[in-house]
Amino acid sequence: MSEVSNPEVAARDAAASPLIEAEWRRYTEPLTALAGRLAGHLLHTEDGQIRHELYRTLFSQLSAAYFSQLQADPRYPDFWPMYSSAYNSQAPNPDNSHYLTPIDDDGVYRISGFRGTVKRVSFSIGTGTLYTRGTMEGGAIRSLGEYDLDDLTLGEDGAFEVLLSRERPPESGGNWWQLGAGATNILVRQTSYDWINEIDARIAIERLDGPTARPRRTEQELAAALQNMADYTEGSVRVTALYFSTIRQKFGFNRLGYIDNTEWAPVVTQRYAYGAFKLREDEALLIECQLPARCRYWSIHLTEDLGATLDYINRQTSLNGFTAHAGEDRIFRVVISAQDPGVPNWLDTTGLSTGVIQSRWEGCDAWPEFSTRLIKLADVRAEVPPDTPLIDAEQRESAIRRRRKGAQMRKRW
Amino acid sequence: MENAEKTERDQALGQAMLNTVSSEWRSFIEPLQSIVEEVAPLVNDLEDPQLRHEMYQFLYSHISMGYIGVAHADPRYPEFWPFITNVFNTVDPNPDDMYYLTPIDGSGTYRISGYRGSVNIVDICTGGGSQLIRGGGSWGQAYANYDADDLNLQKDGYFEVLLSQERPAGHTGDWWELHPETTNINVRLIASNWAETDARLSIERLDTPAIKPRPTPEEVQDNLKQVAVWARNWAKASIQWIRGFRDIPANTVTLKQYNDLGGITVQTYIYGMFELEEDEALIYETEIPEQYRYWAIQLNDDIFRSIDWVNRQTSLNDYSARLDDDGKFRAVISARDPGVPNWLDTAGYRKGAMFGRWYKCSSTPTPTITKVKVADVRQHLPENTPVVTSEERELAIRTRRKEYQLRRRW
Repeated sequence: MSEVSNPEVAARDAAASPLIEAEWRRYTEPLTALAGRLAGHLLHTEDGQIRHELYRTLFSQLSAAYFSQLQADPRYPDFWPMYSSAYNSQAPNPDNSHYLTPIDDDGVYRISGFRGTVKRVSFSIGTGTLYTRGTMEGGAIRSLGEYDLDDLTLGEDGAFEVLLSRERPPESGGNWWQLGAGATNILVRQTSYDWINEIDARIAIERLDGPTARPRRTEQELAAALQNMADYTEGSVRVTALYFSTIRQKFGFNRLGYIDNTEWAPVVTQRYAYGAFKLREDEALLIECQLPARCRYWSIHLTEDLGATLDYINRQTSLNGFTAHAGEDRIFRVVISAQDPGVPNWLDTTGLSTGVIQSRWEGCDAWPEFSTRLIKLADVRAEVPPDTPLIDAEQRESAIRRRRKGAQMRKRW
Repeated sequence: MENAEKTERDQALGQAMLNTVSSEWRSFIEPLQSIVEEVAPLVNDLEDPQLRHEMYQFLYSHISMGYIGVAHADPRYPEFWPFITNVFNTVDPNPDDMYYLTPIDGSGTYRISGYRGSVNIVDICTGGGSQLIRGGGSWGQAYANYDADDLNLQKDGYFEVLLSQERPAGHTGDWWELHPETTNINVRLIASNWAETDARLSIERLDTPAIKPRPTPEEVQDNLKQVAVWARNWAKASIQWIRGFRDIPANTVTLKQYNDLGGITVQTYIYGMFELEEDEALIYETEIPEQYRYWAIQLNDDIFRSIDWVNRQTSLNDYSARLDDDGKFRAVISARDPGVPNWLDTAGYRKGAMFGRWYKCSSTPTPTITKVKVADVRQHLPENTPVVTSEERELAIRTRRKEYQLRRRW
């Protein structure tokens, strides 16, 4: 710190100086253009509610940008909650808690913790600058390796430790994962079927090379991070808008098909189906598929056109292999509509006329093909088997209350 | 990428609409650009570019937090959100605590359910005012500090408790009264030993429809405009709080209750400012109450952020501190490592606060503070005070960092 003869007087002088206002303006001015730069991706710009959903999404990513740019540090890694109902961009899977940390590919790291009982804990080592800077200048987020916690040697209580480095350290005989050249980040996905009862893993990451105590950030480091806040915010929203635009170009509306997500650090053993829906208020989209005999994880959920997952805590906008109902014929039938059709497998559009459907299938012995039919909401009952249970308002309420409780019981922020 | 973008934008956005979008958006961003005007005059030593940039970081932390606090949180559909942390570092997060906050409506009926875990204390504080729900500037008061250990815990520590103004007719289970002017519930999971298991909690409102409606444009507008108010008022509150510590001389401490500022009513706080040159140290010495549920001491910077406790040893408590043979607790506050177990690291800040807590203690001693040269600290400590090597210090910091990350922070 610089020497100061009379700190209190100097502080007042500095505060009065235009320097501070100019600096703060430099760090906030880039935010002013964000909405204008992204609104062109909306399909219904004339709808004030849709426009305000864009503004809310931008604020959510501005809030996340603070974690990403002003807190996260590959020298002092700490998994931060990248996607959630609050940080709702890039179509978060409602069954997942997502955590990210930036890393350096030449560093040595140790991840440790306790396994918990959620269905799946996966670590994806990724390249690129999207997850760390919000920009695509360093290319997409290819996965350099995806690791499953269940492949490690677990101790008592599910305790685990694994080293990560470019080369296996010579004296290490324990768990080790390779950091490929060009790795910039680790994304953790904890996937749960039964939100109330499954316990999330607890996970810590430390860097083993480099000084232990974290120095205060320098002016230069903070200045660089502050200047990148708007870029991160914009990039994390735009990437999904563009992606969903290609989905609509490929499939049109109300059709579902598989997409190769290799460039986007997917769960590598998982297949991803997408489609865009377009519905009038009195219409419903009926999707049917034959469930595989064996499947480790599957789910389906709805998002806004720009990639915010529809409110999955307070409404039924997602289903998975645990919550979905399947009939005797093992056919999964789901109805997408704005009004409750009274069947168990309702996906609630929350009133949106357009949006995107995502479905994930992992560890299955077959990949389902999807048939879709646009029908009248009033005809739903005629289109599903007669033994499909009838869900009344009270049962729906209680299902939603269970979701809300389960979502909160998870470790998710 | 550029082409795909251009196609959609050309289709969708005319100039008139672009103007609408820009002006709506500006109404949220422009207020953020002026928050520095009321905050900077409260901050000392801004000619130091590092401190100035820490202030900008501090402002953005409040913008980030404001989004969750006002644009995501909703008293009709409550969810505990991770309030002050090492990331949302303002008004002195206690390093031993996980804080969860939700707005509520004092006239509503709520159910909190969850698993108790093994941390020392699960404190559930109902409070009033507008500061914790909208950053509105009025603190109201703390109405009650409820303790999860007073509930009927089932197997696995599972519990359920209803909260409402009156006990619902026919309800025989656990119930806590809500003052009609309650606006928020602030949960603190307090762990002396960070390796303990945190509680898992959920909160539901029972007297509203289960399905949450999409927010209207007006609601979104109100909330996003409020983010700047939240950011400005919280940043100011944090700094003004620590400015209050100047009512006693630097390098001394005294005791206080903070029931009026959301403090825990069953806790006595210790506060004071430190001011140190690089070669100086403070010896912080205190008796320990005969009986206590929890006690701690930590350091803050001059805008009342807690100094990085994840990656440095800036806090100690009844579990992590070493007591001397005479039963007293002596700590050394300094920038340089004095090589004693109870070091509190200023991280190079020359000015900041000492902030301590006595929670449900049989007495509340006032610590004494002595300024010495850091080279001389051993002359002021018992002879058998162990020597901590740099390897041992490194290990202690690594343990902190790991255990903190393993807690249920978010």
